Amino acid sequence: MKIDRHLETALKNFATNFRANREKAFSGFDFEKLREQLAESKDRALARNEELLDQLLSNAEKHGTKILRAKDSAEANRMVLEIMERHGAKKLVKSKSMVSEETRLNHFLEEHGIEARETDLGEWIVQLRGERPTHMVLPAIHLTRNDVAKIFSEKLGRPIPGEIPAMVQVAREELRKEIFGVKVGLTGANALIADTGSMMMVTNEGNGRLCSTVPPVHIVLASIEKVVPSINDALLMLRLLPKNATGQIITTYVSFISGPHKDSQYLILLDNHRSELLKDPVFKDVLRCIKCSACLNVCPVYLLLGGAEYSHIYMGGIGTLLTAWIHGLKESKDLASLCLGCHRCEEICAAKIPIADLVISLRDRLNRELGRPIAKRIIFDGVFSRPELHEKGFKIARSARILIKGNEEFARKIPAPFQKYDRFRALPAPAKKPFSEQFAAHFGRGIIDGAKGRVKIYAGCLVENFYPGIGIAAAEVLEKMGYGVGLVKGGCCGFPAANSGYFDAAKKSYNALLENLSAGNTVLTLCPTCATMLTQLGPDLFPSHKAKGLGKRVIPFSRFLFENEAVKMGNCLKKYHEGMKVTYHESCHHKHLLKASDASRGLLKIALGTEIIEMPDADSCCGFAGTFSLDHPELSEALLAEKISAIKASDAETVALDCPGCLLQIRGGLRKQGGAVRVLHVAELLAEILA
Amino acid sequence: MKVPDSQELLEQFVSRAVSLGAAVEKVPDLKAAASFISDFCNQNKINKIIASPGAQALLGKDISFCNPSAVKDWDSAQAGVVLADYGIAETGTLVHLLNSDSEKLAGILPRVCLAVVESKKIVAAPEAIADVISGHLSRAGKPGPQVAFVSGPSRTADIECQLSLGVHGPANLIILIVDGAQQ
Repeated sequence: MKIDRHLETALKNFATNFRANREKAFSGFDFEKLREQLAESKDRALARNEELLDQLLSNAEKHGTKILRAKDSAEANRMVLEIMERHGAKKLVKSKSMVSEETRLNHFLEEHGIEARETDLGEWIVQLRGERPTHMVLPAIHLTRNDVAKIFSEKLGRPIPGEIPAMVQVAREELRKEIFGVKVGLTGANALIADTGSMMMVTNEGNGRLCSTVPPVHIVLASIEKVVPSINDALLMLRLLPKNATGQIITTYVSFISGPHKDSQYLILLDNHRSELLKDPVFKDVLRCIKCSACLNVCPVYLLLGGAEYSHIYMGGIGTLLTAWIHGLKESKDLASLCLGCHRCEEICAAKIPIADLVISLRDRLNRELGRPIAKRIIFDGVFSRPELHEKGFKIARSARILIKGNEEFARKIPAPFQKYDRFRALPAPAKKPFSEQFAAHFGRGIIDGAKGRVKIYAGCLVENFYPGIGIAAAEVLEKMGYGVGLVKGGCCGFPAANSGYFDAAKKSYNALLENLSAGNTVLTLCPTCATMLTQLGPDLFPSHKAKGLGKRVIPFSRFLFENEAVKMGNCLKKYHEGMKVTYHESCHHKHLLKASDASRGLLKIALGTEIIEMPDADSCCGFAGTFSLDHPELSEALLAEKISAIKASDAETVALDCPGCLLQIRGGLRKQGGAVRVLHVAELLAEILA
Repeated sequence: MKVPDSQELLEQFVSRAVSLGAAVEKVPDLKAAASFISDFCNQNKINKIIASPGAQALLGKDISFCNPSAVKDWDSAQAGVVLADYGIAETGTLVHLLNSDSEKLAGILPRVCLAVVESKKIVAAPEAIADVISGHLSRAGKPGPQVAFVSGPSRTADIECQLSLGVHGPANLIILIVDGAQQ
């Protein structure tokens, strides 16, 4: 994976503006309600897809449109070629069509002696350079004005200065010549309207209107899931699409077209395995996608890599899912490992597609159908799903601690072939004693009811084996608040295996843990990932009677205290840590899935007696993301570097957070760099402050 | 929820259209719109325009029109004049129900576009005219019916994310709102 620093900066700048503009565009609208309506509208249309296509066909034919149905890319491309030959055309002008990228139409036509000219400015620039788009909406975002001037000068054979308005004027004149000189124009469609037999297309530049009206022959290339029942469905989509795509309240042009303007109009309807996808109970939601690309603009990995690297044709997480069906499972394999699972995309998706969860399910399917990597098979199938083996492994590691540890907390440098994993962050050594043993020694066996009854802690693997201090701190704080504290026995929650697509192993771990949760106690978690597995992903993937309703009594530690003990906590501060400079890192699952980071901020404010210092982009991922940091150490390193510079920019002395995984990553990264910034779990910070 | 009155819709339309980069002028009647357009053309040395049939009838014979069926003639048009069928307040959008060549091309070809819309045709949201749009798109005949939403001038941000106007369509969009209350 290659990180292009110029592209990274351009994408980040765009993403920052995008967020602000998008918020403005949606002001006065209820985004959640709108996307709920859109998801419903798309679901209804998808359920009747074949019927709506029939209706579209008969109504479009009444307008004189010729309908062609293509089962795959090769067939669609041949249809375009035949139309070109029938009309004696050697050249085609195109207005942005993702589906033609999907079929690699330009390449195919070129092989058959036909020139396909892109007319969207960004697409044209990228085409002149012989490159692929790096962004769905801004295809040439990786280029500077000077890059554009250079390619214009080279291709037009005259010097073109690098001034943007002048270059836009050059493009206008050159592309006019192309559009006016050809017989055939090709466009995509954002929606196909069944009851009027029309297509809807949005553009900002106006090239869509020109390509569909000026040449005598108009080809519409669209995929089958674009069909909707009526204009109202298209208008609903229109209310969301531009706002979510670029933060515009509407695009400059929206065209609704029925039938040919001049000689002929052809509508090529491409399937490419979509009708199979429609029938898939797990993945069919993917077809709700309206290609707004908002998910890319918030994706930490996409913002590092851009769309040329993070794509087969379709980009990012949603692109990974589309690729698996359209271009085949094999092509999606490498892409599937790039999703961090931060779930930011799901919060912004216009059609409420559970993108990150579906990528996890795709990994399971990949493992089943294409085979499992041996190392992960040993870890997940062999060890993780067997608590006794898992425990034994760590026992061995602990007895070898003297060989592993460099000082108290961190491990020695690891041998050369693996240095990519600890080059940018010091890795922790296993703790001398696991949390459960330390807890037993500290608090005795058996639970004594406190004044407020009892709660149980589910610590999770990282606290159990690497950071027992977090667990002890949490137990101390709870005792001070008047609770009797116990532990949930049991091993891994199953998330690491599930996240890597080892669903059988994950199910074993998950169900074994549920056995220990069956009593009626409130269970407090110290790791947001364990919490989401217990209450969200687990019940989704492995539904059972026991998994039902766990969300009500499995609660993140910070949220529990904020909601129940805010007043008492305010009264038992050892000392006001006035002047204590604390910043807060929002862990992905804590924020995007548990929606608990505001509770943590509130809690910190009470404990510190003052507002925390905000770091820039507090919710951007630290790059740990479990096995992601092992699969892609170079990306993990880049994300960590950004997080550390944000922490430094905040000038805080302490970073508080809720996730032991983020703690491993950030503490290890800061350790490598030296300096005195401390990284503490919220429980550790509270234990320090409370009397 | 309070239903906005026509004055509120007009104001919302104007503020949205202006925020998208359109210029807006209010005129009391169609005659005043016509004279605004001919003054505008005189001032800007525009002597050849492309106009939709409705606009052509409004402007009379003072200005020379290019022949929209003759490709060679198209580039000679310095401005396009169109009559919009509706306005949408929510987005500052002009709605054109289109059939012929000149209707479809007058608003998109030249660098300057003058569009006339009556204030009484401004609706709150596109759903209010969904039936009209559907009805138009269902009409039989050749050239096939189209509906165009136009919101501000043609724009691109494809080079360094910097906004530039007029990459394919008009760089200047001037909306003339015919509003009886202006008299």
